[in-house]
Amino acid sequence: MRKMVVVLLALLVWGLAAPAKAHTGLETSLPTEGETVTQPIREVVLTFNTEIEALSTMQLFQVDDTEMPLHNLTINGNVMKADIEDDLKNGSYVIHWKIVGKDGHPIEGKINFQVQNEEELVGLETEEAAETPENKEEAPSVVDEEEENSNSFFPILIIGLAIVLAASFLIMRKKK
Amino acid sequence: MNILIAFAEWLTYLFFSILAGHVVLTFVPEDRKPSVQLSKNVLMASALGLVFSTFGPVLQVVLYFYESVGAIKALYSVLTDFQVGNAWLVISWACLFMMVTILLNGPRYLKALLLLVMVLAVGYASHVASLTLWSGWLAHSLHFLSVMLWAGVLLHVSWLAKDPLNWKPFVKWFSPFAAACMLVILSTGFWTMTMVVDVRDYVNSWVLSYGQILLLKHIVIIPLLLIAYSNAYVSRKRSDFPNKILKAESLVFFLVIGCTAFLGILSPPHEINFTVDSEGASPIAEYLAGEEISSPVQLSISTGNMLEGVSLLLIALGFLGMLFFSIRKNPSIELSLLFSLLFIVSLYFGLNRLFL
Repeated sequence: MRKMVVVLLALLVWGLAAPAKAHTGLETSLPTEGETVTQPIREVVLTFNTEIEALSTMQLFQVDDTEMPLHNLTINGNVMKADIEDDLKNGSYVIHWKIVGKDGHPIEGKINFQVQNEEELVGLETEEAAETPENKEEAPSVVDEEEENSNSFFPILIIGLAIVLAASFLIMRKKK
Repeated sequence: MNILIAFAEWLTYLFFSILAGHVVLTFVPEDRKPSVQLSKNVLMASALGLVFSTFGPVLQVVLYFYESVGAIKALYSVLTDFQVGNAWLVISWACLFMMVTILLNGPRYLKALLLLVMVLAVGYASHVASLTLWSGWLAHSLHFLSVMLWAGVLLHVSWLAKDPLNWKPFVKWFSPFAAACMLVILSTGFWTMTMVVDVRDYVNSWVLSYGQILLLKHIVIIPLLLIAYSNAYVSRKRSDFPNKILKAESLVFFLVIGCTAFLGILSPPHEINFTVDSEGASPIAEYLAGEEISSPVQLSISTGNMLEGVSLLLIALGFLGMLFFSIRKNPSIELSLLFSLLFIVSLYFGLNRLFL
């Protein structure tokens, strides 16, 4: 019995020592999320950090949901690749991917990117630069709100539970 | 549909524990266990039921892909390429052999071997085995095996025990057996969890449905452990059969496997911010936080909600105490279950209030 406990403790420590490294998800992609592509793009390459199953798929959409055909979808180990048939015009695009890991656990995700020809690029970059600080400022204010938010659910729950606790305590004491 | 798949998963655990309990008890001499009357038909039905209930995860993947490649191709691909599919084939064959063995009153060693094969198949199909094959497979199989061995005996004895009970000699081996199983269950459970959730991200994972249900599961285990402990404690002092509390214990166990079954249909929180972006936060977590949750997620104790959170934790402690005293003074299924549920509700909302 004592030996067993030692083995179990060793197992536990081993479990503790090995941190969770494995993530089923997207590791790198071409194009990357939020990227503005200035060169003609002919290929989509998604690299995952797990081997993916053959049924995994992806689709390319324009911002108005028209699907842009992808060809020669291949899956090799943890890489999914496909060719883009047509030239992509300026605008926003989104890649929807759907993969399954070896356990059959499905995971979906999106990659948004822009196609922008060189002449219009300068204007867009300054616009984007102006947008980013605003976004960053918003984040802390959300945290502040969190502290003050009042949810009437909790006071009602607490009062209800406290009454039940007190009542059951009194009843149990009488039964003794 | 997802709810059906989770329910099938729950049935899988139930059928498995019925078979496992039967197998364990065949290895115990007659004078050291209560006589347990369970017809062959129930055992056969459990084995057959497993063939269908373990098809749930297979169906889940097929449904996910049948639109893009068609149902037949998806099914074929899942059965041949996927760990879940391979595992289902193995389990189905083992179940068929198990049915034949039960029908013909075959040797108990064969039943034990078939059960072990089925457990290993379940471990092979698990999420952690897909992340790190050998350690994940080992950890999940050990976890699952010890849960089934312990819960199987518990279910048989709590619902089906008849005279002669042989209670004292039974408790003498079952208490240490249950304690050893618990030790394995808790350590391997923690080990498998670290493969899915980084321990430092445990609280942050509560913004996702998976994290919420995992939290709930951990909370439900606490009254289960307390009831199990008092059962062992009471049984050592008294010689009567605590059948009400044993039944309460198995009902709380059904809640735990309910949480586990639910986890199976949710996305594990490997990368919390990524999952919040792609699938959104848990609606329950958003309701409790009273606002939309967006990435990056960094939860910590919010001072504004401290009072409400701490009062809920104290109330939870009160209910845990009530559970303990009700078992000792006035054992009943309803009271044990009621106090367990009230404890679960208080602690669950208390922790959510503190951190969300």
